[in-house]
Amino acid sequence: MAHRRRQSTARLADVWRASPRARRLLAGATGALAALLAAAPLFALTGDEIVRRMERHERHESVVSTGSMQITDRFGTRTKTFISTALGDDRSLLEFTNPEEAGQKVLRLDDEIYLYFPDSEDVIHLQGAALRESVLGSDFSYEDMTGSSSRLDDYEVTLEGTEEIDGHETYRLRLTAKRRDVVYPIQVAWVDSERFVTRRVELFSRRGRPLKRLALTEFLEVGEKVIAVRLEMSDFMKKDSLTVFTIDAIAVDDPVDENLFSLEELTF
Amino acid sequence: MIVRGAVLLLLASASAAVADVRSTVTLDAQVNAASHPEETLLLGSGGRARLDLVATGNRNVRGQLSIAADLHQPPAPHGAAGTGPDGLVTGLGVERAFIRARLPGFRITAGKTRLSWGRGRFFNAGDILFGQEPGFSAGANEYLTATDWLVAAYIPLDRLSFLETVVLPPPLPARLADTGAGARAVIRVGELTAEAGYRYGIGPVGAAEQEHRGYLSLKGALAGVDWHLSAGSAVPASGDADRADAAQDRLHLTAGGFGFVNLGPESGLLNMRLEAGVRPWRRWREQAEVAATLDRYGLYLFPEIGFAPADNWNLSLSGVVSPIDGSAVAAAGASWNILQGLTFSFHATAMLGDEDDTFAWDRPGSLAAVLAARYVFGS
Repeated sequence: MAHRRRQSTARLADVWRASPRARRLLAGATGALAALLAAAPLFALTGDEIVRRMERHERHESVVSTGSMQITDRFGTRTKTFISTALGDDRSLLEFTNPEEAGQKVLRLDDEIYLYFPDSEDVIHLQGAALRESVLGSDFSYEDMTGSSSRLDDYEVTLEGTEEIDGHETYRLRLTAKRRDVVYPIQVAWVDSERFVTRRVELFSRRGRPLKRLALTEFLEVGEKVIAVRLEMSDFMKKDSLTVFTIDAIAVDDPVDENLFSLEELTF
Repeated sequence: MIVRGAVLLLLASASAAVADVRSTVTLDAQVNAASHPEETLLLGSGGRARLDLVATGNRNVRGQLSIAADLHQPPAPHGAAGTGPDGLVTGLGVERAFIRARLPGFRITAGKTRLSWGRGRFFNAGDILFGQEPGFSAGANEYLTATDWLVAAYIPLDRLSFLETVVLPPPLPARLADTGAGARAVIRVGELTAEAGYRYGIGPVGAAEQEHRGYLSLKGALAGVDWHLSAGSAVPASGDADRADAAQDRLHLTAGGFGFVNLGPESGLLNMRLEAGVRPWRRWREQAEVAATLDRYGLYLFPEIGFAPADNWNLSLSGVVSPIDGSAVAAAGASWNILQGLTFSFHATAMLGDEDDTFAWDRPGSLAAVLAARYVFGS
């Protein structure tokens, strides 16, 4: 077997040396083969597999981050800053640090949310659908901010093809909600075919009306993961509206104290 | 050289201390107009400044100092000469000053602050520490915000259950016998949170007698609605009064529900709340006497609807309804967070009811409007 492989290699080398035309043909054939080989994985993957690979960068054992949310409209920009700690998919603690909401905290435990308001020293307990409500009037929900459940739980995924986005080859995925209580019934996502990071997402109503566009414009490599650290959400319904979500510092998969996810920590 | 080193060390310490303090300033300014039976219109204005300093440098120790200054021009008839600087009403107070420290197995809080016992935004039978009689205020962010000097220990049992004990120093003039004390247990059982508490001490504001107070509270969620039920009562600690009668008379039941309705990404968010305050042994028929307090009849309701059509807009409709005498106070308002930290708001209030009802149309301020601005800034 090894001998036959060596023979074939020798024969190819002879032909290469003998004829320029053969060299051109061979080069063309090799290029086509390389292109085919490169293209093969694009079509070998299913939509679900692409989402799983993408979520390897988006779902973590733990995340501790600080960042900001800038909400811009025609009157100017409002900034909300926060510290966020998450453990797995279902435990997180978010504390706002900007003066207007300083000390307000959001604790997520499984499908429950506890909101802490320091002025009244009060805890409000929300369950179920409240996870999908907007955080402080932004374009992000509590679920977006505090959790990272898999899209495959909520959506059917269809691979629609490939497109180039901002100079990057991407898979174009259509995500259709499995349930009626999902905030965005249809999403179209463009996932980088090389790094498997989301480059862009467009959100649609059930009737297919475009609502919002999320562009992920900056990334940070943390270990083997590539994490988006700047996300821009624009609202098609509002002129000159933009929410920019920026991560200033992030630690991924480091040990996190489980006691952080308790009423004691929330009300401290 | 030594002096320069000391100065540098002092500067370094000072800058570190500044970095570990979060400061927030809240400025409120408002103009208001109110009706008066004998005058066509009363006009007033006022402002408030609050400074909050919060220590943030140590994860296991928290300190907070909140000082507020008030300045108000009392309402005067439209067109009347102003009262001048001497007529201004001023006030300066410490709203909060406390230290909270996490120690092995428990945490301790000492100083002037609030402990939120029981459940409820407006009616809360479990609020036995402060026993605050709620007053309706259009556009209020919070209703039950009273604070007091106290020492409390919080003992976590698991991540959602805990015990809390509290000691309340005696009011002035201080007598050791007037020291108050209490405890509560909050236990998570399945989908329910159960809470029980007890307090011994001086009764509500203005009272001079010691009393025993207790409450039970339950909280849960059903079909997307978060609900709560509380029952509380009090009996005198001494004296000849019949304790069973007192417990009946002071029995207070409160219940509430809160839920969201998402009208879709294009339409906004609607939130609804309904609370009820029930005193079963109070009057259940209308009486012809004037009393504007919320403990006269057996039932009062607090409905509230909020609607956020956009990120920075909020519309609200709320009020207190007295179903037994058929009167109500209702408020409608809007707030607009136009720039970072800056919010404008407008609220209009109307009382509906006869002259001897809980709310009456012919009382001072039965029709009122407030235009307000709030600016929050800090570091």
